[in-house]
Amino acid sequence: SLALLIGVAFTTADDFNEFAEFEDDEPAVVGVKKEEETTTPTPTVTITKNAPKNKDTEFDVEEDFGLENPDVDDEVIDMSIPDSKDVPELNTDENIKAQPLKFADVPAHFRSNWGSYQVEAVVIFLLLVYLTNYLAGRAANQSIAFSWVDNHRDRLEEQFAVVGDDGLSETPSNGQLNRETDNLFSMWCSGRVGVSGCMVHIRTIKRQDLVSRIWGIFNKNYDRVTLTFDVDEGEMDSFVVAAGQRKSVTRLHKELLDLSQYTTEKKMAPGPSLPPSFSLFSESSEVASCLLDNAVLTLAKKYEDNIEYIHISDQYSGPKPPDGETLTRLPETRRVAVFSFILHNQSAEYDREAEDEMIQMAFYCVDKMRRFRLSREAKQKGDKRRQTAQELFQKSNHQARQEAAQARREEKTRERKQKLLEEEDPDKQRRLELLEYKKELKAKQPKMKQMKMK
Amino acid sequence: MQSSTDVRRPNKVVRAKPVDLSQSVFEDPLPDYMNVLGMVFSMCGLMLRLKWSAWAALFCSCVSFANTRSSDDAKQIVSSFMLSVSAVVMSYLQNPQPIYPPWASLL
Repeated sequence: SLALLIGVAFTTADDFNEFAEFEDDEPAVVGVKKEEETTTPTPTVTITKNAPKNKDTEFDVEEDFGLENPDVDDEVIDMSIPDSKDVPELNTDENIKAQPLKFADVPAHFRSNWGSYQVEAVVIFLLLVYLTNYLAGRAANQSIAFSWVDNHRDRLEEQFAVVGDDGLSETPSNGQLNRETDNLFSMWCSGRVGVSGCMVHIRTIKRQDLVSRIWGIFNKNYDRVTLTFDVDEGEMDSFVVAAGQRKSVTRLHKELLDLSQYTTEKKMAPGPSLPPSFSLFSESSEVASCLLDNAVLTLAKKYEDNIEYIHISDQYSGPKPPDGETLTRLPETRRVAVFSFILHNQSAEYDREAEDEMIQMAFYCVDKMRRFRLSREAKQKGDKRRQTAQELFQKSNHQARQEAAQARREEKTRERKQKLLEEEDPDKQRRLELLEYKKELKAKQPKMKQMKMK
Repeated sequence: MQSSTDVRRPNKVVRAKPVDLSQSVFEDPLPDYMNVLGMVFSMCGLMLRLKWSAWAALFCSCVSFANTRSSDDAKQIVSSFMLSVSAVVMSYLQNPQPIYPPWASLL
């Protein structure tokens, strides 16, 4: 640390010498200043008019920058302001006109020109229209759903012990209508012989979405109510049938797995039959003739445009997987009876009555279906068809499983070869090679059964 | 067709279970498409500073809000709204010029 000190001392010494040459001026200056301060108090502070004038005050003026100094000699001031006479004429009129002022084009601020934001005004207006339509549409959908439930609650309560259970509270609640989306409401009813329950879906037109509403102007859409009964074990024979308006039933036939697998389009027997706008898809004609008896047919004819479709199936497994994917495992099927009705307008007395009768018809069909038993050979055909469907599925599944096994086997051999290459010490490597060789020999050997000769 | 016996079975009540709609016939793909479209538009609005695409993003998130299923969580909708509003704000902050109205050339 001593070296450091010396070092520091040295540097300061040199610094000191560096300023040596300035030194001889400063004391002179300092000297003068000291002399001044002691002899005359700087006049700047005093305000008195008749302070003595001497050379030194001039000197003060320069030092007290910006300080007002009333006693400074007048001619000193005059001298600083140039006389107007001998100042050259600078800016004549011509020069001003010569260079026009250029304004930089700074974008105008928001507040200055609201008028030019027309597109934004239109877009915001559209958003507001969308919002009001959303609120109005949602309220309209809700009122339709609630009014349907109120109109037909007593019909449902005759058939079910619990209507509108929300599944959360301990004891089953009543009259609970769940809002799935702004245009789909669902209600679960349960506690009836033969069925474990019925899910009521009320699907209205998407009034809350302006885009769908405009779209709905071109292709007409209706409010619908769908009753989906989950049928108990053993209450239903094995058959699949769907009847209803041509457009919806053909769409269902394309979309649903069970309909496309088991049913084919059937022509109705002559005599009392479905209205012309209906079509029928069934597994066997016997099923159709039994289910669609006179009562149902007369109702179908009477409310032709109120019934959308009736779909009863013991192999119901939802929509088909999108064409790309194949099913990895057998889809779980359930027994289901679906009745879908079209609501025209709730207020009309006629429509309300029609819906009441259609709900009764749905329960009538369910009870009739429970009593219906297929004839022997129809039943065998049905079971065989289910068998082939299952085998078909197993085969395609089997192939997929085999390919997976093959891939695994190749993976294993590749790994073994990899290990063999990486092995360093020679004798272990030789042993692995031997093992590998034996494995290949065994694989090449033809597979023969050992026959025990007695 | 009045059934004489009482068919109600209070003891056989099966409680309601939440049904996931994606499998059923009522599945509606519109909200998901609109969500993705909204994301794309707001990305364009943010990156390329296109004002009209920012406004379109705001419109797409409104449509997907109107069609959301109540079972979906609200996070997706809130995030798509925030993204589209930020796209609109950013495109106007960087260049406060209004969109050139197409009908201006017609007048």
